[in-house]
Amino acid sequence: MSSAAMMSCFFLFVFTGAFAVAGLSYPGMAATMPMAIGGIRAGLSLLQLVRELRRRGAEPVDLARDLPIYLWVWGFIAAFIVFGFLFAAPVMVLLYLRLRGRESWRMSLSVAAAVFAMLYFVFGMALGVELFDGLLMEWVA
Amino acid sequence: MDPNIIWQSLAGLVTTPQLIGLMLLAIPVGILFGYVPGLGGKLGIVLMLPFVYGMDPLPGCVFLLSVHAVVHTGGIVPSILFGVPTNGPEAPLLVDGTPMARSGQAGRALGAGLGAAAIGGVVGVICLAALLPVVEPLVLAFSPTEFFWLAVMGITFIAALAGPKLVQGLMIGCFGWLLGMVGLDPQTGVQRFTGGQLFLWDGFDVIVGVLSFYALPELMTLGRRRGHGAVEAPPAPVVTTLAQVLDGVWDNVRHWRLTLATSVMGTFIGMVPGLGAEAAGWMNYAFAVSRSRTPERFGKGAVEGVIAPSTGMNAKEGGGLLPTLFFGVPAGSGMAVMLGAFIMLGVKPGPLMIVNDLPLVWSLIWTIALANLLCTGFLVLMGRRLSAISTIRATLLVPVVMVFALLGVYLAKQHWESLLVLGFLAALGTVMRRNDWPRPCFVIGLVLGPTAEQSFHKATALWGLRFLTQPTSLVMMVLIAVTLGVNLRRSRRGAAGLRDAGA
Repeated sequence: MSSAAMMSCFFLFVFTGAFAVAGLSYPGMAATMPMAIGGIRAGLSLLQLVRELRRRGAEPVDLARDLPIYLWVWGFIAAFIVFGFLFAAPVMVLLYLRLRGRESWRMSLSVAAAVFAMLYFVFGMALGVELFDGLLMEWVA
Repeated sequence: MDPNIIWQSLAGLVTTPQLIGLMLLAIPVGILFGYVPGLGGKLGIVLMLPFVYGMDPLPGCVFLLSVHAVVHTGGIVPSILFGVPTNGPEAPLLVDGTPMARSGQAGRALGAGLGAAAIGGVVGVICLAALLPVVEPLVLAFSPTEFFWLAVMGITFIAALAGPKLVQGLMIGCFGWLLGMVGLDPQTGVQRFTGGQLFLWDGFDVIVGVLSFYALPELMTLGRRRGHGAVEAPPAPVVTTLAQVLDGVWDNVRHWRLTLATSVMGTFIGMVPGLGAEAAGWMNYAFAVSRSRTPERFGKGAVEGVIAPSTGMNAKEGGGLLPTLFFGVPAGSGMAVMLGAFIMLGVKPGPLMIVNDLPLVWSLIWTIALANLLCTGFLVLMGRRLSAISTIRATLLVPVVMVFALLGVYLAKQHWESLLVLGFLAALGTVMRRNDWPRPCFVIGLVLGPTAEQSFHKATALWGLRFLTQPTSLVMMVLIAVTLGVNLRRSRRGAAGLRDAGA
């Protein structure tokens, strides 16, 4: 199945789900628009899905090429959520530059230090922005 | 009205060292708040309030308004060069500005955006000045009926943006609209699509949507490997000259009709409370696509796609000052903070300002115009150096920009759960990018969908479904039908062209 067909499947699921949830759970006025949007667009998504499945020459999903960068992005997100911005940002930047970018230690450490300095001094100290400390800190505290 | 007041206000502004000094101080501050992800004009004004506390109204207002007026101009630079919008209104710049920067035209894209921002800012205040005599009936003329049809008009631009991929455009637009419904329904107080999650109660932030569908997919494509070899190479280094930046500025003259039309559009959108800067940018972008003879260039680096949103987001500030000053009704969230600051400084917004405080009103109008011109002049001169950023290696750029994109998402609502939503939607945005699905439709649905829904409910509460037969409704319906018809005809031609090309 091509990635476009998978996306059409996703939209079909979302719009049908929105139609059903709105119809079953919300009172009249709150349900009108979600049901209208969900109902009509579920039909369109089905049409698009059929078109995508019938389309020849569609590019199949290439997990070997796509998966690593998806994992990196989710890795950044997971690290930020668990360890907080101040700790996770320089560490993840360092790891990315060394492992993925194959940059030198000197360059990787410099960029990671610059990111930390920007977050700590500009956001934290100068602007007084409260950066997320991470769930781990919350659990420990 | 005594015309001498107009020129005396200008002379007072430029010849008083304190005022011009405050303005020169405010401009870099405004640029900084526009440049750094997640900060923006509202936070800028709030953080600057302690500095102006106790000042006289005029210098305090000049300083804060200068900060506010140039925030979007500051945001143009990272939006075009990094592909990361620092705030919601700059998002449309990614669609064509980033491809221009990636194809070695960073200087031209910057020049076009900055020039358009200055022109938009100036045209905005000219419109504001011209409208002063008829200000009251104009603003009061807007009822939920007009809001509803304006929003519907904006949504029909999806047909223009989607081009030959109309079905996909509608699906994506409606997905944006559905996400716009997430949160507490203002009509009934019912929670919709929140799944009981507290962080979704106050809705889905535009910045999350824009970063998911634009910034992260760009980064993920940059970071994707070619086969099993090296990470995809960035564009070859291109030396940007001041001439290229100025060529971009000149593009505004080449496309003067578009520049002028989108500036006026942006001013009027800015005047309507509730439509906001995001709407100004996207509606102007969609307008540029719909009037172009070659709409297929958009999304691939069309300079008109940079000009239209840039004029709109700055022209909006001039328009937004009108209801804020004369009715005490802020045109958007930024102007709401500004209104609070005005009151704190001793200004009394309301219709009497036009009688009692006309010199102050004119000084504020001149402040927006001058701040825009000075800011653009400064950034254009810096454009050559700023453009060098676009030649940084992708391996260095990806992790650093990712950190600031994630930070921007977190700062938008201070919910860590927003990062999870970003991760999920970014995957979806990346698949859409690879399949060339029209992603701008998502933001149109997200921004204008909820406005259309709320205005519809308000209008039906006031007039029942009879509001659909009001003269304004009939005129708007005809306008929308004509716009839709023209765009559908174009998209069918485009689809036929695609089939022929494939055959």
